[in-house]
Amino acid sequence: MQNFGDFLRKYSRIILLLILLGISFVLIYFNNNYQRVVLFGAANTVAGSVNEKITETEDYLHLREQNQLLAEENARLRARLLADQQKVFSGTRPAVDTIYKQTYSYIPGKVINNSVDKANNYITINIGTKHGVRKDMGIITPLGAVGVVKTVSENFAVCLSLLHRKMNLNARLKGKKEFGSLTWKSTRPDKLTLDFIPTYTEVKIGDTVETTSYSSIFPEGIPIGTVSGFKVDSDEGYLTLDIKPMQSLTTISYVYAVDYIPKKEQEALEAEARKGDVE
Amino acid sequence: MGSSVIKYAIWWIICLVVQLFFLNKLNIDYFINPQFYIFFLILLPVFTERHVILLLAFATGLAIDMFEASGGIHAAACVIATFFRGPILRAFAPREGYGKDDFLTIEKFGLGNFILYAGFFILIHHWALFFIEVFSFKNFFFTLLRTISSGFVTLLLITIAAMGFFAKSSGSK
Repeated sequence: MQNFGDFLRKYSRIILLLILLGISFVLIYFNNNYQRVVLFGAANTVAGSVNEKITETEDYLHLREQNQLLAEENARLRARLLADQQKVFSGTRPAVDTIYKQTYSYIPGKVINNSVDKANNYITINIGTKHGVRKDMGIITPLGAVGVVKTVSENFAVCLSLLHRKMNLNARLKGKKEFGSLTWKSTRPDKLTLDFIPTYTEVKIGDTVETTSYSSIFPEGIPIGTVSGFKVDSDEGYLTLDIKPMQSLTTISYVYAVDYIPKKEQEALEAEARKGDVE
Repeated sequence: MGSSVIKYAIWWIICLVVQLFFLNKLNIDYFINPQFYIFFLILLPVFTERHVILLLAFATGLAIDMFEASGGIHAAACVIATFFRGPILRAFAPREGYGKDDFLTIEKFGLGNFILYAGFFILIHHWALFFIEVFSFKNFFFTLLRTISSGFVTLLLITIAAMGFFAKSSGSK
């Protein structure tokens, strides 16, 4: 017992180091496992509201360009109003409420924290469960896709930015069917990578890359970026494209969380179809 | 004693505020990621109790992690760097050694020794931080370059801040 006491005294500093490192790594582990908000809900609310105050102040500096963007978007949406369109063929007018069903709705929010210079970047937005935000919703701006919700608390949501090593989206070239996987491998915020596009696909610099209908995160056809370069991976028979994001990730301010309304139904069905795959 | 605790508490807050609401908002570059907040850990008096300083390092790192949603990477990096603070301090001690209750002052320390001490501390901290952040040795030289380039900027900022801090504290004595 005496020896044990001596041992503790002698190595107390190393023991303390190991305990503190242990706690840190547990926190890192839980952070990667989407539990952080649950563990630190309260503390995060404090951090969140301080961040929000700071961002509110910063926002005044960008009011002009944000207004411009919103006005442009309003104009685009207005152009799509049925009343503002000329009828091209005079059949019976479709009754919108019985033929169409709304599948996506959009929750407006504001970015209160964002980084682009870390190995894994996150976007914090000021909408949460209270506003209807759930995990795995897509985040878009008027210009294009920017991220996916990772964790949600009552008033805030933390999203994986496109600039996150674990981000992996299906994307395709606009007007083409071939799709590939979009990731971030570079160290620059303006260079994403689109892999696995078959070599026979015609690609030009400046082509638009958009979301596909294969996931329930984003609606089909949301722009992501433009092609800024490509090379052929001759061993694999695939093209690797460099993509410049449509919405510069360094200047995001107002965003929408995309709610895919029949998501539960689709995912339940897919899960049922996959049942038995593991065994 | 009491007044110096308040002084260090104020510096703790200043360091965190500068890091969180200024440097982290700048988003300069992937390779220039200064971590100014560890100035607080560099600044602590030489004879801070060895367990207390580890706990302070942990708390400082964790505060950054809370705001950055980064789990515990800053906490881990701070604890690792602070663990080696004692040996580094001893290695660059002034010729006559540290007196009892010594505060770190550039006058006593010499600017060269201060830069060496801070430099090694920053190097260990950044090295731990960036490797834990990417959690692999896959792009080893990439991360190493990031450690060195970011560390250099941190060292520059901290040296400037230290000159200000020490100039003021020795003047008020």
